[in-house]
Amino acid sequence: MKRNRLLIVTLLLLLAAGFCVEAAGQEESSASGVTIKYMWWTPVYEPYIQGAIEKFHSENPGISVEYETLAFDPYWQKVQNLFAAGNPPDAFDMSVVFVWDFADKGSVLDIEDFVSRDIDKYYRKPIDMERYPDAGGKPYAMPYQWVASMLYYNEDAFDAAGVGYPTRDWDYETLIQTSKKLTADTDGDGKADRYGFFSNAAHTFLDSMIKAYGGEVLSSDYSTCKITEPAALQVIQKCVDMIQKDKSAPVAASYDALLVSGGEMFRSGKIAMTIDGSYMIDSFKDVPFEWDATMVPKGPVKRSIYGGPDGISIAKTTAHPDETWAFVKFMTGADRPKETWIPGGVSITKSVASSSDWTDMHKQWISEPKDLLDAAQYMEGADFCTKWLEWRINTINAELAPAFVGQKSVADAARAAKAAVEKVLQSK
Amino acid sequence: MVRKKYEAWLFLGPSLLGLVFMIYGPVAAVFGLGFTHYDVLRPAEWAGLSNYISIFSNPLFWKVLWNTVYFALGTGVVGIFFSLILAMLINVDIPLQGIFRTIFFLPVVVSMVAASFIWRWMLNSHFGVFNYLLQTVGISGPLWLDDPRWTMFGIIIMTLWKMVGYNMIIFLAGLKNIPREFYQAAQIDGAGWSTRLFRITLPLLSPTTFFVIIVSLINAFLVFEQTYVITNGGPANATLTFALHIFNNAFLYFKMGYASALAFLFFIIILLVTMIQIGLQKRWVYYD
Repeated sequence: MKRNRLLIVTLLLLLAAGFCVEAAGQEESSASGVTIKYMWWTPVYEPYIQGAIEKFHSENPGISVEYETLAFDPYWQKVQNLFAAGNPPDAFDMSVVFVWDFADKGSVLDIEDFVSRDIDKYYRKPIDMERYPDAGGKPYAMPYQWVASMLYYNEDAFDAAGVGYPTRDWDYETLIQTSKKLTADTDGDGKADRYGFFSNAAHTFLDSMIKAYGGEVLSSDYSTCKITEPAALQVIQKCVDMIQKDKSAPVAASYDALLVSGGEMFRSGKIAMTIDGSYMIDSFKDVPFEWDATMVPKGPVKRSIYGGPDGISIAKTTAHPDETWAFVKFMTGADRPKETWIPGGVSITKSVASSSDWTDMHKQWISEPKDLLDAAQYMEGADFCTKWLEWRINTINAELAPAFVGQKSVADAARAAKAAVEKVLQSK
Repeated sequence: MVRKKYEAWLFLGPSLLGLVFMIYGPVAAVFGLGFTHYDVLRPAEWAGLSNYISIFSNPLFWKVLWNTVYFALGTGVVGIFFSLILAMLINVDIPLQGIFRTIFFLPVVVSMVAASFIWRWMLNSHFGVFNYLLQTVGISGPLWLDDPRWTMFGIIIMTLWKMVGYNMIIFLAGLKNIPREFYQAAQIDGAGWSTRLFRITLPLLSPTTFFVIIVSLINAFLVFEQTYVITNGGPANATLTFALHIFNNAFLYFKMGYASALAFLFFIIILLVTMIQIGLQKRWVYYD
């Protein structure tokens, strides 16, 4: 009996001790001045971000930054959970894919006042993509960099085929014709071992090609899907024909949200050209062949290049908006350490983007880094809006996939995609 | 007596609290959230039955249900058949029996996520190992991960490789429990191998088989890692299963209310399937 009472008392004391430790921790952080919490994805950059935060601490002794990093998918789950728990981070990295959703739900601060003070220092288009509910609205994230699609090409494959390298003067018709010349059966078994191009329904490629031909994916009010209109249908048919008729592109359904398969095929030398985000420079650094990148080709109507920002948002419920903005300005400005520059990312601050440091860094991999910088003037997003992930990645890709693998006509697939996308856009 | 009851409740308390707050409470919360529009970032709004109406009127839901049933039949039912065959083969007294048992059980201990990454490369339509091996014997392999007609089949093969060893061990234990005297008596009476199989082995193994079917089907319905890692539900939603569909709606589309309704519906479906199996057991399961 005595032993039971002793056991119960011990358990209760342990429980009380646990609460005391938690309370002591909270008292300690509030005693050291303003503390803000920052979260970002890409854990591999933690040493550099930590260095940047230490520099921020030395310049702003009254502000302490606690930080946390997770990989992309678990990062967004945790951010949502923290918002649901009423305890969001003060500042957190924001993807252009989600900024409209967070802005629409009133979860993040509009930073118009902060941004407009120094607007001339920045590239405008990436900032405009962070505006809600349209380009005339207020920005809800401050970009620290932007990326854009590039045309990557395998120089060794071009040399073997005796074909001149792509230039920024190329149009899509030249790309389509050249990809036929680059398709080769290197082992004589009657099947292509290297294809000329990777044709797919990814937003990093298809959307800008549709716009270059005068079409659209969504209407300007984001209520209607327009891929059944002639210009868009023409483009999708050309992309499908590269696979099914010309046989200059492999059969590949875009099943992965980041379309890793195109990068995998380029890295393994299975395709001679691919259009993908400039961030893929990082993936291609160590490939065992000579390669380069240039501007995405133009269409008959215009040149349109997919691009978009990576930014930092401020939670609307932050108790320290001025301090958090000071941190965001530091992390998005010229003081952000160059060790955190990702290959293919362009600083939002023009002076940093046009610096010799940035150019020298990219000259390691591409012969004309200016092709990436000049993409800014042609940059268009992928109709980012609320529910973008659902309608663009998981619905359009799923509905167009049967056309790309030759199991459905382009017209039927586009009609199915239009119906499914509009159902998503209209859903609550 | 009162003191003993008090102490009993005190020691049971933590477990009961865990049950309430970790299991029954969340289930009740999911049931309630299913009647709301809840995007996580704002408070939930009452929506009545609109989530359920939306679910049943969405063609994607029926595709997801079919994908899940297809997977469950492929791995649950077909997998059980292969596991039983393997168990009966391993049950024969041959040299190195233990090594064979280990070889077939090894895939079970590998993490499903790690295995999925490896199989994603092996099933790659253009430079995967499977199509390379098929090509060496003159067969043009299918587009495993790019053709909607083949992708779920590829994932089923991967899952069978991974899980068949687990059920094999359970069946093996059941086979070892069948008294040898039955087989000896049957042999004396002139019974052949098929008679011994259908009249002795399968009936006496039926309680084990019943357990394996219940557990395998429940696990098959809950498939997530393979479809998330290998294909992310594609191509063309061909491998979009129930659990992944719930995940997408809850964590990618900000539709926690809709996802909760899906989750509760999923719970009811699995419960119904399990209850039907329990109801049918009287017809074919023989207990001592």
